[in-house]
Amino acid sequence: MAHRKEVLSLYRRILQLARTWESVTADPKTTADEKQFIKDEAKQLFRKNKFISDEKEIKDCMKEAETRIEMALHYKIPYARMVNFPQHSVLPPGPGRKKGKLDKKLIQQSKPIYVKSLDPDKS
Amino acid sequence: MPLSKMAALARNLRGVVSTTLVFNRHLAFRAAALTCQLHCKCPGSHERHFSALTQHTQATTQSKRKYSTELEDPQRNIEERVTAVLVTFDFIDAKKLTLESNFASDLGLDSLDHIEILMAMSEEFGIDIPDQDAERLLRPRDVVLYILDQMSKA
Repeated sequence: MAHRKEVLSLYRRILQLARTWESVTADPKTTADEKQFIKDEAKQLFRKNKFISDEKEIKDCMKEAETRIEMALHYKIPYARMVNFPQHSVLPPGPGRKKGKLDKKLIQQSKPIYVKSLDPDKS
Repeated sequence: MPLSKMAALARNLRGVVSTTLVFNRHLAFRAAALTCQLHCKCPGSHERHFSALTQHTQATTQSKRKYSTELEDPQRNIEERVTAVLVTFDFIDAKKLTLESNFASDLGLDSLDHIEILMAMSEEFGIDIPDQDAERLLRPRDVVLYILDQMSKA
């Protein structure tokens, strides 16, 4: 409950961003789609993280929201920026290993903060 | 006078008369305003005189339109609009919604929903609702009174 006000003002900021959003192409359909995306994404992610009580986690989530806002404003793209796998995290099949293997710990460590709340299985 | 000339004259007169009828009101208005400015000895702007004339012309030309329906009962008007906006949300149960129902305790909404509702209100009425005021608006009744307050100030 310590960061309640800040979290709510972040949510408000995102909704206001959605109100005045103009897409890069200035096409009315993409503008409307992106506005709806911003609102839906904010609603979904804020509700997903609603019951986090660890102080550090809350601060990370707030940082994530801030970063998403700044990136959306800078690149004029509201969607999350895609992140590549780091080097040597996908181990190919070889002697002693029939299938390829993902180094999950390395992947988790290298993820930037703005994809923190996103579901890794969904694209 | 030959007949053709008479006909031509009549045609021209008719054109002139119709245009003067159209321009008459504007010219009279302008002339009145100008004469007012020329002859009036009072200092300051003549906007008062101007506005009295505009009101008169507007009253005569647009007497069929009623601009006063909103002003007759502004509170009732705002209440209806607030309820209309609230009903559009799918997380609000229209059957439980009254003007006195508390968002958090009666309708079971959380603070994120509250923010969404207030954003929709500020879009509907064209008013910006800052954060410190937003904390106090816990029922539709509070929202209605706040909007009334803001509209009377603006």
